[in-house]
Amino acid sequence: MVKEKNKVEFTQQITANQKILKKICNIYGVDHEDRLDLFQEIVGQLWKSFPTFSGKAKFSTWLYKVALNTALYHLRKSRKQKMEKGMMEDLYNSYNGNQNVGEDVRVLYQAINQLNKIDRALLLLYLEEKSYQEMAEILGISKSNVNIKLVRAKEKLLKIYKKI
Amino acid sequence: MEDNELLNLWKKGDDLMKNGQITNKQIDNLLKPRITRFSVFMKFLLFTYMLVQLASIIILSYNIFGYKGNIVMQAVSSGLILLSGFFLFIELGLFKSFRVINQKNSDIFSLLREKVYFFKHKFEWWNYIAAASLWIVTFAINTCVDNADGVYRINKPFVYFGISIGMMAFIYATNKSAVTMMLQETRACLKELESAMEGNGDNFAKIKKRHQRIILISIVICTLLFIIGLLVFLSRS
Repeated sequence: MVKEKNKVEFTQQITANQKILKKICNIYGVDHEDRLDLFQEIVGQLWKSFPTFSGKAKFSTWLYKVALNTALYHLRKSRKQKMEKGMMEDLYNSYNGNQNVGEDVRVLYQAINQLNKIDRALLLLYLEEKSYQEMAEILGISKSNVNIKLVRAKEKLLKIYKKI
Repeated sequence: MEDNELLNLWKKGDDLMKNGQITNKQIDNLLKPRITRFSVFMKFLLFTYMLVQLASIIILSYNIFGYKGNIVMQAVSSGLILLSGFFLFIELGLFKSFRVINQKNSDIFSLLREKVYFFKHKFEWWNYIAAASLWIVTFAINTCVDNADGVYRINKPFVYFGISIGMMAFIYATNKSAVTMMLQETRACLKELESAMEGNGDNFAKIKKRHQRIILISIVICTLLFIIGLLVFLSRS
């Protein structure tokens, strides 16, 4: 009964925050197949860690921590998953396969994808307009260090963006 | 490109992204038991060596009975049983530690540090334990099979010693290489965060690649040398 109640709450939270998860998958996954895989891995990890969410911090902060930690250790699968892909495609389907997406957005993602994993995490939090305090909390470094690192990451991103 | 342009571009992508209702069925489908390959591999590795230690304890216990008139063998077997039990105990602790660090709900820097500590220290000790465990189980099987009326004889002690050391080194290198890539990746991420604190530049990706190449070449050379050495020994004996 408790588990079912948790599942309903969890589903609601995932529905509300699905964009965050998709964006993380887009910047850490190497191709569509890999992004689907990472999405499943993150949701699985979130469910496993869900009982540890105390409610003291914001749900999105907790979600970023778990999702980014999972993405950092994500290894690309060599074999194709035999799961129900149709359902996954339907659920995940963000603008990866969407023809209407602007070229500039695609290039931005492509540029972020070329940064190292930590810079990607930092830029994601910045672009999601998280406060320095929240970024520091998620990454585990001080606010001033966030600032230093962010300036460098943005410089690198812009260089790559211009090249593309 | 200004900061505002960057944020606007990101926002544009955000607006285009689908944000539909997720159903319970879809969540159930996503939550089908599945873990990362590395996690499966690590658990398999730890579990396999636990079985090796259990096997050692069982065979060595049988040897205590088989060598009941031989005080030296009884002392050696008893000692190795105790050692295997101790290794098993350590391994259970390690298994628990690995599960804990996989909870992944602490901040990124702390988790990276914990992982590096795990692989650099705890797992390093486990590597020695794994090599020793395999030697113990081999010894246990040998003594069990070659029991000549309660006597076991090592005819060529130097060769036996050499092969034992070679075998342990080989096992150590194999297990170590299995997690090296993971450790390199984790260290690289940790260095990236630390570099922000220390104000250093970040060329860690390049260093990581160079280390990977060196490690890979070393492993190939060690494996080849071990195989050649074994073949030479077999052809002479």
